[in-house]
Amino acid sequence: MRCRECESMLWVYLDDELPEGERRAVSSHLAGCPRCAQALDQLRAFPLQAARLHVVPPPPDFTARLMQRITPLPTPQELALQRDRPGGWQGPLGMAVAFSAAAAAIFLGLLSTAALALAGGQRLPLEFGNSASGIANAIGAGVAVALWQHLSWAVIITLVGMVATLTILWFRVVTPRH
Amino acid sequence: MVAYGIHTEEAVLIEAAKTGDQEAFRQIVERYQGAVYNLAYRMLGTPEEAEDAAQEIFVRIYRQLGRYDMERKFSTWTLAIATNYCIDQLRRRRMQFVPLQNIIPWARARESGPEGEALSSESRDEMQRLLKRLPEKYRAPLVLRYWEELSCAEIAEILGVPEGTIKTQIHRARKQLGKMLEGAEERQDALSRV
Repeated sequence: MRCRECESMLWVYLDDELPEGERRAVSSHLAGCPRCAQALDQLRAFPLQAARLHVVPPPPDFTARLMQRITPLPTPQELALQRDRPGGWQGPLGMAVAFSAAAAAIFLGLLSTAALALAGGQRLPLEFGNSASGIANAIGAGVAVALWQHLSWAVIITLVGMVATLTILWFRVVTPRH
Repeated sequence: MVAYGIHTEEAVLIEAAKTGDQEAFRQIVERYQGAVYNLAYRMLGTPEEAEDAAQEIFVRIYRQLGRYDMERKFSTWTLAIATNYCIDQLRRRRMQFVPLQNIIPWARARESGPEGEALSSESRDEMQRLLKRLPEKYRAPLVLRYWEELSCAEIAEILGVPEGTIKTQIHRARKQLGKMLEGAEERQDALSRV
């Protein structure tokens, strides 16, 4: 055995975790090599040994304070049942909600952009009046026109991609499974 | 119901705690709070962070207890939750802010020179000072191996990496610690043979 090889095994040797054959090889090398023996002594003096490590205790009121947080919780069995039950935000319903929310968000964004572009580019007809329904009609009509004029396949594909990404994000980031 | 031989008493406690027996859970906490708190302290670095983390870890243990598989060793399962939580905290901390002394070396020297360190409780604990300077990825294997006295196989299971990787990491970590220690000895002879 060479010194370099021996040296790389010294920690494991010290921890008594070497297979019998290697352990014996290291032992016999150490017997005949003062340099490696000295290296072993240095490792022995190193303070990484259980008896020499300082274990810091938690503060005395640790358990009492923890139990204050535990007491209002349902039992672990109930918690496990709740989590196993499909539904909430993680079942198919959650998927549907996430999908519609994402789609709605993107659609709204597109609508407002289209409406803004339309309002900026050409004056909205005044005959729609000032009532709330009038405004809604104006936006609706504007949007319909904008969509009709601008929606191409590329836009549709981008939209689908965005919806898919948002849905995946929802499940990975907002409601990740533990 | 009885799962593993030696710790049958513990198995009874776990079963009771699962059904909502708070006294049983309190006893489990008493048994493991030392190990969990110490792990958090060694990994995160300060008593304040360690306590917050240990509290949160036990709440998680309670929440996940219903799905604990009695075939697994409870101590390993507990330390796995604790370790993963601490690793998560370290990652989050890295994303949020970096303490000044990590960027500017002399900021630390100014805040706490030799006098300052002698006064802090950590100065009695040379290892803690060294651990803080060790790369984060080495901390978990080292703490689990030497403070919690787990085998490399158990650490590999907890961290979800091959056993060989753990052995290498521990080997490198010790080498680095050795170098730091040598440096400290050169500066301050008195430190060496504690």
